[in-house]
Amino acid sequence: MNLYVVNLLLAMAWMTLTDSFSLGNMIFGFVLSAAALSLIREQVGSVGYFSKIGRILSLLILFLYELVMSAVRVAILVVKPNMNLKPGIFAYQLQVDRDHEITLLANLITLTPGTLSVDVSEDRSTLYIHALDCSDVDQIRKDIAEGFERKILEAFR
Amino acid sequence: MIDGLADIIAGLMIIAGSTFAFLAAVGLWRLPDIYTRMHSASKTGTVGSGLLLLALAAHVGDTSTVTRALAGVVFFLLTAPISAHLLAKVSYAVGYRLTDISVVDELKK
Amino acid sequence: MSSEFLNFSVQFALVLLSAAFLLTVLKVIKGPTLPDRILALDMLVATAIGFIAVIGLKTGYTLYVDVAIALGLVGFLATVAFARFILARGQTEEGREKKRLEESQKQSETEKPSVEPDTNSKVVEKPSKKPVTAKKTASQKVAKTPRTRSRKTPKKPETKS
Repeated sequence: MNLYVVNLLLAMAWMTLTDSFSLGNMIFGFVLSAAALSLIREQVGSVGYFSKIGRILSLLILFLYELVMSAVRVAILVVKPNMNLKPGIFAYQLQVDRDHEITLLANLITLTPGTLSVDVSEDRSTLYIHALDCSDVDQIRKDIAEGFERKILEAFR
Repeated sequence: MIDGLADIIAGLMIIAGSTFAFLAAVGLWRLPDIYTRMHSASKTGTVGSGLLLLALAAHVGDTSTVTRALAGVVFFLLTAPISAHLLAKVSYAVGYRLTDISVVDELKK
Repeated sequence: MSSEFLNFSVQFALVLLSAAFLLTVLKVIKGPTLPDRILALDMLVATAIGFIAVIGLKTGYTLYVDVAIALGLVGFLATVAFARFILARGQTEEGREKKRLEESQKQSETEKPSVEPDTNSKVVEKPSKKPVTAKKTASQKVAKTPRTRSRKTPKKPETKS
């Protein structure tokens, strides 16, 4: 978190020096100062900071990709003359246990292909997910566990 | 040149977004029960309107518009799953049943 | 050339969005259940936001973006409030029937199957092992009857439309 402040300060310095306070310039300054910090990451001990940024970015990219894919999948399904639906609700054992992680996972699941989180059990150990294609529940469980849940655990732990 | 490219990108985004929105509306009619319809409305509908907002941002291109459009898209992406989840949970709790072709229901106690 | 393409795509989008709007409105009118209607209303808000974006692009008024964001906020709050309303309205006919079935199943499990659970006098007369549970279910039943009657009134407009 400390390095994040340093990063922001450097970006502000960049904006002051170039005398332009637009958003694009701020983002550019932020990226630039991040690059500068990454050059000396061994010396200031910021290796963890950069790998964390990388993991959060990869989570974001995965999320956007899955979101577009899910929209395309549902759209194709709707156009098909013969919708071969096998909907159902299945239970999913959660590995994450903090509130914000569960919320994030539930939101991500809702916006990914064919799945929609319906309910969380009282003890917060099970997520109930509605899926459009329940012919292979174990495969969906495996996909979530190895995709989003692993990425969330990587990004926040 | 750059303007022309931005226009073409915006045009493609508009076409894609409106197609998504239309297919989401078709999905509301074709899918069998409330839970499956939620898939259509919450995903395809959100992506559709998000793409249209992004197209506006790409076309106009000044900072304040781009920021506001991006904020709007992020806001929709955050709220759509919450409202879908809430609606699904409540309708299950109140007793709207899954369609007959459903294969599993592990929420049933 | 590029602006021609943009004009064409704006026209195309307006046609498709109008069709989507119409389909969604029809779903609001017809939609067999209340959650269906709420979902269609939610979808209507999303379509309206898309409409606003396209109109804003066509006319060049970027102020429309703020309108779209505000509309999204209101739509989200409306959906949340409607969800609470479904919950407050209580069980559906199907859900109530299912609950009754489950209750009667439970009764037949806890008590002997020969006992008829429908009359109160029998349950009281019988020197059963669990008089507490028997009394409880009986009182529940009494409490439930006026409740179902009162719940019927808000349902009427749904069946009419």
